Amino acid sequence: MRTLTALCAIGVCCAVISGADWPTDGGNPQRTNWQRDETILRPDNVGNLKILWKLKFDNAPRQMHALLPPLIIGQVRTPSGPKQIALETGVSDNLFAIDVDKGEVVWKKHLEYPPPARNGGATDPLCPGGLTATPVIGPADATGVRTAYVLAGNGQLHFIDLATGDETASPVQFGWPNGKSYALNMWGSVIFTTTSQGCAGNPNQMWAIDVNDSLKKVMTFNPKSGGLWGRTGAAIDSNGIAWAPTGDGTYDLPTQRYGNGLIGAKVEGNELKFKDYYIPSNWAFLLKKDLDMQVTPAIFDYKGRELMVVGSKECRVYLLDPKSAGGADHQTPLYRTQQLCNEELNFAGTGIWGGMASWEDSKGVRWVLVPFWGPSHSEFKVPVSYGPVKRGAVVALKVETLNGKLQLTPAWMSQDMDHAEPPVVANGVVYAYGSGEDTTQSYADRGLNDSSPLRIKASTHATLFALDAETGKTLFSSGDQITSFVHFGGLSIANGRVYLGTFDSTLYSFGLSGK
Amino acid sequence: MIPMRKAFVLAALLSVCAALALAQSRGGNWPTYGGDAQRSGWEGPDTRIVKETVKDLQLLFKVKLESQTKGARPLMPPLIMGRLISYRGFKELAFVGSNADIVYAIDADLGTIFWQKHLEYSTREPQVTASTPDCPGGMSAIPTMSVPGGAAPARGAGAPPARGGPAVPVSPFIAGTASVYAISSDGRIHRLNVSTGDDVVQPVQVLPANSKTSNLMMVNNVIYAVTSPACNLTQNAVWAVDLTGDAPKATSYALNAGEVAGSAGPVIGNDGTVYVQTSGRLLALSAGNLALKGYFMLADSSSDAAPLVFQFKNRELIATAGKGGRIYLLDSTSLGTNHETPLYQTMPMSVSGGLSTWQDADGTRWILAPVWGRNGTAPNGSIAAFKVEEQAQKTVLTPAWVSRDMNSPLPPVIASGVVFALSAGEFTRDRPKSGTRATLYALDAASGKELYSSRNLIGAPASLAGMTVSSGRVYFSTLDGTFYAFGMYMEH
Repeated sequence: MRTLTALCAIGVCCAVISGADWPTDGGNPQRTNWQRDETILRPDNVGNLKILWKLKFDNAPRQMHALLPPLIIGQVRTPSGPKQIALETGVSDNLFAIDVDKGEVVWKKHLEYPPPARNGGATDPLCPGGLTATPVIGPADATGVRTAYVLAGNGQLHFIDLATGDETASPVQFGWPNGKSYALNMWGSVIFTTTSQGCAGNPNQMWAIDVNDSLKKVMTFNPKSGGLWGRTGAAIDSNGIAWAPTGDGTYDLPTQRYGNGLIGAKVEGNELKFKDYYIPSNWAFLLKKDLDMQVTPAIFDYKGRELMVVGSKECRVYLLDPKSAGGADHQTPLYRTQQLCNEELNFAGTGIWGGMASWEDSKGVRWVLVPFWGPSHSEFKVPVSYGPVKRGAVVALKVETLNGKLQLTPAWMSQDMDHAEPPVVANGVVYAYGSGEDTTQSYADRGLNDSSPLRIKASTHATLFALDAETGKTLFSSGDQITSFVHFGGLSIANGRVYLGTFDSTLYSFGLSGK
Repeated sequence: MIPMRKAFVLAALLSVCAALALAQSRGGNWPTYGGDAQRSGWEGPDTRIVKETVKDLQLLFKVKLESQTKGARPLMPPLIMGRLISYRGFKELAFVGSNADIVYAIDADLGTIFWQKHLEYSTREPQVTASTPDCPGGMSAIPTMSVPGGAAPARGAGAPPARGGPAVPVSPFIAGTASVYAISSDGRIHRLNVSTGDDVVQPVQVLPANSKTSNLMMVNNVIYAVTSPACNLTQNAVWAVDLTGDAPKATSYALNAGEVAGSAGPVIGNDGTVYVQTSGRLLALSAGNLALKGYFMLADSSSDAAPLVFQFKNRELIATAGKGGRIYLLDSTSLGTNHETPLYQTMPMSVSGGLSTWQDADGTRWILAPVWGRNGTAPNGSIAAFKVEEQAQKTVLTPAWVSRDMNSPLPPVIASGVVFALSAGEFTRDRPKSGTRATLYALDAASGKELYSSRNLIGAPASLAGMTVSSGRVYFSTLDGTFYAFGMYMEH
């Protein structure tokens, strides 16, 4: 028995040490938020989740931003031996490498630079400045080094050895200081990001840089819109086309304006070339109501065909073919759902925000997971639900073919969550969280007044949920164990642990005792 | 996520996009009856209204609202707030007054009620429930929002300080965000929160209760109105309600005995002069204190039209109509030689309700008059169009076109070279004939040619209170208490 236990322990240890990675925001370049390699957490044991450790970092929040989703590498050769490392990033240009087995910081690094001349407004949550793009970790090089690509708040891209925190090359400029870049993505040797809201004068556009390019040429494409603010930046399809939503703005082909849509661009040679786009047919109405297209798409395979889903604050989900997004007129999706939420057509506090998720079950069923804020739409009917949804929920849709046409069929809607954020899915379990964030931007008595202090004061705390991915049934809730809220953070999952960072710069690691 | 910065970005995008839905000239706003301080009825360019496609106008929605079945103006044409970033989202709102002392905010995109506010009757004087054609009772004044234009009146203590001056407490009637102002049938002024309809501040009585009050006009924090005829023995008077002090302060200019004014209400000149058309005179009153600056004696009596003020070749001209009825053209600097001789006057025609004006791309100034009764080939009624021109060194009104036949047309509204005219139905002295119904027409503003007709889409005769045009939609109501929006379709 003792031998068996020892062998099991070794086996688990090996599984962890050589296990899964989460090297980029959303888990992969396609932003599916699907951890395919999870083996420890299962529907039958996830009810026993507990906080394994939590670490409070010395990282000052900026506006409402604090921690970005951690990146996980299952096996990193560090000077003190192989470790599973989580790279946590703080908005105040701080990096923390954590030995996740011990819950200890291995190294930390502060990216120093003179304060940029241009900043956002004093209380403006949109332009916090600082490090706003989740880094990305590249594959191991010939020597086994995993490089973390980190975009500092001054717009410089750093190359950092994940094992030591050392810079492996001189940083290069990849954007404007305090320009509010979104999560980095990597395809081959090319790193992508997007920018929005014109923070500190930064143009709203897609950016790319080839880290193998000796000149480190910065390549851009500007859709002339209000901002590409999908939470996890661009998603990349199998052809290397990076897709990003364009926020609000005008659609006007003669002047090459692609607002309120989704654009795709690809690096060819040393240029980022515009390839394709999709514009909802009601874009003018969306613009008028400020219902941005602001959700990073998720790209996946369905019966041998690559598909893409994207959404907006209007709370519809669009199913698209990356080979021809929107068809010949660029306005005809393969399928468009009804509104899942946002019956009031509000620009704040309702709709789909951030990103989505997609996974395939053992029977080959392809699922799409959609988080949303606010009440569900009164006309949205779903076969399985868990009480009234007033503050937000996760909806599961199945990709199906009916009479030769693709559709997204509602399967279940989760219990009510306070501002449901993009979920992650692993091994038959959906992990979702209500951020507890106050998202009020306009008030009955004062009108528009989007103010970080007001919102921080009115925010509560995040709650982590584990749901049965087949039914949406709640298997675990963290209740009030998490004591702060989350603004534009996100979940990460690998090797039996689920991570979430909060506004008070605390990183929580949930898992199973003894695992 | 869109706070101030993004709102600015959005505003910029809106302003540069010719393909967008909002009218550019007013930012999608129509803050008072007639659209501006001069009550021109002209929206200016509207990117969603195009002469070539206005044939595709649709009935976008109709909403039944509570009103009282008395008088010919149970519901009023809406004020439009083109964009409110409210706690319930970005809204284009239409504020509709009802003679049941209710103000509605209608979501103009969805055709749903955003809020409604019943203005409780609350004064010592009992509410008059009797109704006559002249004194129908209930709230009669079209509400107003703050209207750009007009020089500020001279004020003493309590005036807003110059920039950099000592801080002066700002009146709760004007401080803060935009509001809708209404005077209820009890004579109290209400400042309503545009997001909720709630009273921003405790209402204050400023006019006699149970009076018939003309449409309101708010310029430079002063609300102007006329009470007439002498309903409930109230005096016929022009009123200026100054909102800048600790409490609203009402000043009046008493009209002569028997001198009555129509419901259209005052208009404001570029220098802030307040012009009021009465049954015998066109009055020019000083901004704020309503001192008589001048007047013009009309040969016609019993006019219910409102004057127009407009620019023509660097002059400010005034056009007004007597019900008898000629259209008179005046120079605002003289108001006619000896108060009796205008720059020009037309041949008699029966103009009713008020005039409208617009200027085309070539700089030609047009005057539009709703005519009740025969005019040329139109036996029942029509819109008559005139050009303001210089001939032999005189300013004249040159007849340009007469529209198709209409019944009891209302003062038209104009957008993008299209005149929207509402044939209200067959009326005899504000009373509709049984079975009659209204018809909306779109006319080529240059030729009067019919471009669109609503045919039988409207189920009742129109409220004579007027029309509104804004951001691709035309609004009016009918006597059965239905609020209509026609416009160009936008996919939701």
